[in-house]
Amino acid sequence: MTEGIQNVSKPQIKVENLNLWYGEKQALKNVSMNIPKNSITALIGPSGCGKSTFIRCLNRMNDLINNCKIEGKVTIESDNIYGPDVDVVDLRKSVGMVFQKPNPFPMSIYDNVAYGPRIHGANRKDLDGIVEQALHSAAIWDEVSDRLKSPALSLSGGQQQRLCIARTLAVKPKIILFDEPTSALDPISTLRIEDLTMNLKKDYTIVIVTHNMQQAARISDYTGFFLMGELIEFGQTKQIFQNPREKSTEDYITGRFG
Amino acid sequence: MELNADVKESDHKATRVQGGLNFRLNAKTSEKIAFAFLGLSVLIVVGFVLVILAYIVYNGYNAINIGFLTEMPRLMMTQGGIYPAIVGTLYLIIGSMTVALPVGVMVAIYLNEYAGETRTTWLIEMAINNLAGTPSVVFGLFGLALFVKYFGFGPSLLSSSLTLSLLILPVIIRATEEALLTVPKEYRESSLALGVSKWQTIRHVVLPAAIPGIVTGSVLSIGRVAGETAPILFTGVAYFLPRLPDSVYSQFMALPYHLFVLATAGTNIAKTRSIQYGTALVLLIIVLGLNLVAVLIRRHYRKKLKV
Amino acid sequence: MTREQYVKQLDLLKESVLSLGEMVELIFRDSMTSVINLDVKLAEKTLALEPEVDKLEEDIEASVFDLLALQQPMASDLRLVVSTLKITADLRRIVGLSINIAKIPGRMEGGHVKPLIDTKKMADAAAFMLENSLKAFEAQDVELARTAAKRDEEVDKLFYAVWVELIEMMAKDTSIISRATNLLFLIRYLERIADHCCNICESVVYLATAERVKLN
Repeated sequence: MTEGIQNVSKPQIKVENLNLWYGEKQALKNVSMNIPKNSITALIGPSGCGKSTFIRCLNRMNDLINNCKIEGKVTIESDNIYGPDVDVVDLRKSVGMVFQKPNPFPMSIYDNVAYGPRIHGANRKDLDGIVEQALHSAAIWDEVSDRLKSPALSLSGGQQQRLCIARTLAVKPKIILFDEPTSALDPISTLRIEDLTMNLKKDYTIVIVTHNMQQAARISDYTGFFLMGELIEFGQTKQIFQNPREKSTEDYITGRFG
Repeated sequence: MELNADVKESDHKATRVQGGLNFRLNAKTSEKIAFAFLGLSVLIVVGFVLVILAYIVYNGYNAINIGFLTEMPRLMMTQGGIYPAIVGTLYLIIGSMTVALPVGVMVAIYLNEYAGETRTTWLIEMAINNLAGTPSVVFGLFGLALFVKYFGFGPSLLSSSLTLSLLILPVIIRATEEALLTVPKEYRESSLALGVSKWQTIRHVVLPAAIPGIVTGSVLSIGRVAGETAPILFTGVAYFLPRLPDSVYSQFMALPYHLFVLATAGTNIAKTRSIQYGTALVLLIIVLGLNLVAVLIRRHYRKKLKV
Repeated sequence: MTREQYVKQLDLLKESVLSLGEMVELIFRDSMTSVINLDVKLAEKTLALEPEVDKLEEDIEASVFDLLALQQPMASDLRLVVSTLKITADLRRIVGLSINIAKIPGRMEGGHVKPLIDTKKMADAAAFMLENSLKAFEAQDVELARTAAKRDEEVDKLFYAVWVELIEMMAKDTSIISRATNLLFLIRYLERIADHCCNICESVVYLATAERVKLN
């Protein structure tokens, strides 16, 4: 898949010939991709095309699935994350993930954000600062600053999702993976999260799986199109949405799929 | 042409409304019938419970006074109180829960969170299911052989507590497993995605969320511990012992066995009738009281966890 | 095939542009005929067509905005919609220039100052460019678009030659200035029409390849 490797001088994430099987079924076929630092990369494609599976390879969430076999190489800042002496727990500290459904823990707003740092041994004195900083970065501080002790589940869906982003930020990752983060949210909350991701890319490298093509077009710098486990096309978002090289990308993007 | 279509449509509407009305009447009738049957069943069950409760309370409340609760039995148990039996039952509850609760919860965590779907886990699950279906008298004999004889604990509070903890272990494991299953997978995933280890995830997110379910299961088993007679019969309960057990190796009295003895083997069954009902009432109150505590604990946690 | 309604709307949009194109060709040809023969009747008939063009242009613009706002066209669809908008604007300008041409016979008193040989050549080249740029649009034919645009050089050369010729004539005989100026305007209009045809060809290349090129 040569067109998958674009010329990026120093990619933050470098994926080479990634293959993945669930039992007998191959879910990813020879995927190669270079993801540059401080950018937003959107992955699009029909359901079951492998985009979510792919993103879960980047923080090794697929390790949790039985009889899942992975071949190939994923390098994050010159470390092969599937290498023999990689600590998965450490890897996930630097590669955070936000999920499809807003899923704050059944604790207070404060405890949700403090959860990660607390377990990773943050100083009790520093905790307030870390929580406030994370809530600020996730653009939700103003809405919750006066009720940090109330249950996280009392927030609206959009607020819950931003809280989940704050929870991820509090651990200070370098990369954040978003797995369809707005598919359960209303349009305004969706736009807020989109704004947020665009602000976050100053400090983080972002990879987002989305079913919403307009969303990919709006926020991402690079777009990858997956189909049946293959990365069909990868390139600048502008190019993909104005002049895709592959026929199947064109068909998908213009809605003439199937 | 257009007019025609209009007429047709309104015709169609009319039939639809009629059809709908018919259908709804039918549904209403059948729902009424079903509801009547359901109500009747509930009435029967609640009725029986109330009758039993009323019967015991009516016959037993006269026997209950401070002396009855705090004194030793006297004159071949025809007089005096049931203090040692109350204390013995409470000791049994504490003893067996101390063993069965941590072991059961840990086994359930292992089975649910760590063990894969292998043949071994399948065998373990089967064993637990069979254990749950084993008659309690078999547990009594097993306790006699293992704890009383083999380990040499003798007939004692310790032997009985251990035997009872074996009896309730499958209940606690099942309840905990069920509770763990109801904790959404998303909690685990998002905790792991924060670079939190599996055990830390279980300890800080999964277990707290599962506590209401675990408590419910535990209360069910407390009821069994308080009520079982067969397992303690061979392992330590005393027929008559007008003092409290002074160590875990002592024999003890217990409410259900005391009740059994009074009702069947006593010399003056008729004489002790009010003591029998009094004992039954105390046992009932202990179990109901513990249930109430469990409900309160559960409600407390629910409030803390949910909105 | 999904999005049937949407695809139909796109087809319809393309067809409207093509029928606008036909109308523009007719107006341009008739305006040229009217000016060559100084046929005031034909010129008036041509002028009367302008409101119809405006109506069609409005319709096309409206459907472009509808499509953009409601359907969010992407990739080649997006390029089609955008180039439609640009081509329509160019066609509208060509109509404007043709109308200017058709107004000349009414102002012209007493025949042309010279035989219109080179001017006719210019008009033929422009007509060729107009016809083929529209054909290229219909078929998304990049080669045809380039061929059509190529003839702009010819038009420019002729424009310069006639221009010099007319200036010289006016310098010699000041009595023809008014009539010669009309011709000066005419060739200027023709040169502009050819430029707009080039723009259309550029839009066709963008539509087909997403490349932006300068063809004149």
